[in-house]
Amino acid sequence: MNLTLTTYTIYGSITAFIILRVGWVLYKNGAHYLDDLLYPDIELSHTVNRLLLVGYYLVNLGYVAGTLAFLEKAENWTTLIEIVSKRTAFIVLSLAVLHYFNMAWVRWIKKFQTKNQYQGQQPK
Amino acid sequence: METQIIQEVIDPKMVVIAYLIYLPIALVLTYYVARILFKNGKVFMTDIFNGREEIANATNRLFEMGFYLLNLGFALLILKIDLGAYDVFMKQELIEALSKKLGGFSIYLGIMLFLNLYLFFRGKRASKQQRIQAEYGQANP
Repeated sequence: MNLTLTTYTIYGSITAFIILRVGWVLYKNGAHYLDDLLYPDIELSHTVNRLLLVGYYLVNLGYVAGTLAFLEKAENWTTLIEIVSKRTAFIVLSLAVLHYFNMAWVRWIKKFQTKNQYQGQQPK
Repeated sequence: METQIIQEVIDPKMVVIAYLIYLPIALVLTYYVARILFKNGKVFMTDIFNGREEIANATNRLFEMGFYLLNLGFALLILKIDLGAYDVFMKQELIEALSKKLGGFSIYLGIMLFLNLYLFFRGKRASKQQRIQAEYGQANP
């Protein structure tokens, strides 16, 4: 096994593990939020949640698989660690940014919803 | 005279050793800080969500995930040691480089910790204000 193959293996397994784990945790915990947002329609919320999970897996794993071939070639173990860490950092940081935006987004929708409900009740 | 010659050595093994020391320490540090922060964050979350246990736990877990992602990403991002700045890279330089990296990372983690605490306190204040407003609104329709 040469160094390039080792790079692919390490990079692929680390990122795949992170993506699968994060997706699962977000799926489990995001369910409460979706239930809250789509309150009376629990069935719809579960469906949406599952679809979101599948979409997330497809996009992220697809990104990892697609960019695998464009990794820089490692010459020795030093560059191997540097390359893998740089690419993993990029993926993990973009996941973090997406995650924070999603949380802000859900919060914003919730706020909007309650405001609408409140305003809807006002004229009576 | 030969002992006077300064060896210009960059030992690739030393760099790998530096990375292998840096990575576990950074990971364990992040894990430890996140665990401490979010074990105590549960109290804040329960307060913010008015004792709705389920959503409080979910929010806590989501914030923990975000904390992990952000900080592990940063830890991996600053891993690379710039060898261009060194003529010699031996044991002494290894320790110096590690001290810079780990020191910087610890300070960054500390700032992140306080940022999260600030967010917790802000959420707590906002929920308290809402509760007071709701009570006040009900008392004077």
